Amino acid sequence: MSGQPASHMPAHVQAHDIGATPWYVRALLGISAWLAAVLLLPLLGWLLHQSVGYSRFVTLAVAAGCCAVSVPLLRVRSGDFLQQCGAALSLAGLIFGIIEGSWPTLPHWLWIGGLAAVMYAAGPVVVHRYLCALVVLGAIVIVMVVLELTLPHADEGAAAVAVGGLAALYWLAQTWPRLSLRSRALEPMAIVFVLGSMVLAWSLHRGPAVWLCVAWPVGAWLFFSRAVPDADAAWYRYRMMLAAILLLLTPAWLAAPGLAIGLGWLIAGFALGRLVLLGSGGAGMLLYLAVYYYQLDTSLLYKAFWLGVCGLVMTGFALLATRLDKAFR
Amino acid sequence: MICLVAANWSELGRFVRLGGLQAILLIVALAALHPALSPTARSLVLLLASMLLGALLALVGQTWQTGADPWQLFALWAALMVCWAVAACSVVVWLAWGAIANVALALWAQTLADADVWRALLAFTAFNIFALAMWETAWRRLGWLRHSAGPRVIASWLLGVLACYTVLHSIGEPILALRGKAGIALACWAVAASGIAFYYLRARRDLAMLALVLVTVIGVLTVHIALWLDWGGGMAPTQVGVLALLVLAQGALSARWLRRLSARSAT
Repeated sequence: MSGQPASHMPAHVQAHDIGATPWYVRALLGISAWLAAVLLLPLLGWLLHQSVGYSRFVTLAVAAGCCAVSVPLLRVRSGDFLQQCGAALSLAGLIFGIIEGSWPTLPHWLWIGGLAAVMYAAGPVVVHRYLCALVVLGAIVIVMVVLELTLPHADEGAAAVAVGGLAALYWLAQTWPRLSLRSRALEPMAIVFVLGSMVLAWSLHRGPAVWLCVAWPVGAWLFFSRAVPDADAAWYRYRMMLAAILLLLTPAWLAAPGLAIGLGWLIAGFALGRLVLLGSGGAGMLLYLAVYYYQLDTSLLYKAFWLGVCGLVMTGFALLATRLDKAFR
Repeated sequence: MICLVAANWSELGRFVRLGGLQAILLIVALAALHPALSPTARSLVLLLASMLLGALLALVGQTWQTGADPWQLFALWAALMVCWAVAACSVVVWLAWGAIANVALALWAQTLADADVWRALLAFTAFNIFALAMWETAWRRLGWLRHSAGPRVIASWLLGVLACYTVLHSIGEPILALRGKAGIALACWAVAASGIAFYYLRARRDLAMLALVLVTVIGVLTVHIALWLDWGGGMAPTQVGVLALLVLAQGALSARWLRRLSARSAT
């Protein structure tokens, strides 16, 4: 696990981390768009109040209108200014829709999530897509967790698995070259969902996490089996053996599901050679350890026992992996 | 181990606590001497030793309470950690050292009277500019230090704190007020931002640093224009719209300039 993960990966997979626009320019544009969106909100509210007065339906219609107007601006091929105008207008519309129509009903949040998803598809600006993905994630979480009554048996665990599963589908699709070329546009959504699944797992406790912990090794197995389909047979067997050993860890995660999800993404990152997944998984595991320490409903001795078990299993796993690695090389 | 020790903490005597922690510190420090360790592993081990050093100081302070201010603990920690940082030859360890020193500065600032906040602002600016200057000086001589993450983190922290402080304390003050906390913070930010922009444009070109400077310029400038438009007295909605357009224009111009520089650097 601690070797050079990128070295075994196909070049077309690694190349995805390199964008055409420098990251600092994207960050600058994103911050500007956010500032402008915050400033546009009161203007929008004032215009609305002056023209038609307050009405929930009109408010949501205006939010949708803002998003519609922003689409041609977002689709301008060149010109940062117009793209930023579009991003700001789109975000203002989405935030306006959230704030002005924030009654806790399923249709409203489905509407917000759907609108954000449409905007995601319509506006091919990277920063805008990350922000729309955040809104979609928020809508899914609110529908599944906050509006628990409308969806029976839905909780943080279900939301974590739902968004994590959607992200896993995307990353698994990356192992099929034909699909990966077409689905590049979904990457911001997948990354946001990866992060969202880990944040949701932080609030999980022992009970609801059982089925989640059974689900993750299956995902890890899939990633391992799909990671290098064209590699030689020895490497393939080696990876499958590692995935089988990972299944042994399942009981250990019952006490700390956040670690399971973090490790799951770490494995996916290793299998696919994607730094973004490796970094997210590693950071997620470390952050979860800090959160886990302060979970007051679990005793410190219990935490110490389970983390110790996980540590021992992982150490054994690392030693075995090193041996296997040498044997197959 | 942390959970296990925390669970039994109240049962342990003071000498067991101190002795145990010192033993762990010693083991970790000795582990760093192991010849089979890779440079990355060695720096991580030394980072752990540095963190344990802080924990040991905190434990000593908790066991024999001297009445010293908390900032002194962090200052002592930073001072004692220098040898670990020198030995580690690691960007991460030096950044951790900078973070601890900055915490010491922040805690010291809390002990100052309101009228003396300017001293804290000046000390914060001077310390971080000094750290950045040292890093850049060492950049050419030390290969392991040649990683752009270090200067970027320091500059982000320096400019971010100064810009936020300027913005928060400018509200309610006249535009470009050069007196009081807002004025001092504005002056510190202007000096730091212009120095960083000049160096990373002329001496060692780093467009990410320039983007950082531009982000803070957009923030500070927008707030001061808002103050000029009389934010506190109630801006007209049209003025808010103009402000939004201004933000967008600043962002677009900055991005265009950065892209042009990037294209020039590539050729």
